Amino acid sequence: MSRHMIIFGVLALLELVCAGAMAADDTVVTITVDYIDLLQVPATRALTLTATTPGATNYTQDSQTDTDGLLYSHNSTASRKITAVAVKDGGNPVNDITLTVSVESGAGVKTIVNAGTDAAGQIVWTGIAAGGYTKDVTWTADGTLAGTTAGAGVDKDYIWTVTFTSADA
Amino acid sequence: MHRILLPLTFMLALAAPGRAIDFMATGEWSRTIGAGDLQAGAGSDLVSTYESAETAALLTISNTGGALWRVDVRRTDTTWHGNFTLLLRRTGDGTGGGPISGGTAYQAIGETNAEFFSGTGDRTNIPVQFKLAGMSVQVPPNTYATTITYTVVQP
Repeated sequence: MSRHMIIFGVLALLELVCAGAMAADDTVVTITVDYIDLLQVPATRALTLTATTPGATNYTQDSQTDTDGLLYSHNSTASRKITAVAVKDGGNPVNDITLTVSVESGAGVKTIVNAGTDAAGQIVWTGIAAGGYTKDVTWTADGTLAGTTAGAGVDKDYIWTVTFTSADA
Repeated sequence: MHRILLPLTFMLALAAPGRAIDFMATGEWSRTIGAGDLQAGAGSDLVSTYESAETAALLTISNTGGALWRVDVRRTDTTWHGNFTLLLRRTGDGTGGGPISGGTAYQAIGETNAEFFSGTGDRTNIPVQFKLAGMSVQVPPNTYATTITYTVVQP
């Protein structure tokens, strides 16, 4: 009988020891953050060259600002830069237009068309840390009456496509 | 004496609260965050908080013998970001007879056990929802993972 007592005693002890016993299981939470690099600029911007002073040889410079015109978000660990490059339209007559662009708090005024010739790509903003940004974009156009002619009694359009590209700085 | 001690010991064994409670958690939460989650497209930041479905995880507690229990929760990070706060809440009672209480308001999940909710008796499919806070474009692209461990204890 005493042997049975011992066995039951051990069982009871085990049960008591197990008081507060635990059971556990898991759930896995996974968050995937994709690479984000989103740049947006105005679709169009028109500048007008006029000369209002009799005897002027140069057009009066036109300057236009796209307020909050450049929108950029990126989440890269590397700093980024934005480059602008202008490509003239095939239908442009010979001209001596100089076109500049600058981004608010960016790399300053950059010439993207120089006296009618497309310049190499220009860094308009660099050292851009991860974040979301809204910046003004300012454009200027200059030219001479002799080098950039209008049509016969009508206005003439000169067109460039300016592409902004983001890349690691 | 033996005639008294033997039944007493046996009864003690049966009455002891330390039953081997069974516990099961099913489900997971995966969320991919990208440019489509920017608050207002280019130039804006990412939406900062994200919620799972209300039944992202289902918890089942069984073999309780009608005993009182408590569920604790903690997280173990695999890859995680310091800006993140992961929260969870119980969005329902599941199915079962005994009372269940607590855990219905979002609480942050830390790296050490904290009480989530408690109850009595068997409960199946207690739904759990997760919320992630602290997301921004300052968080580098990566896959971040953490394991949520629920522990059922008999208080």
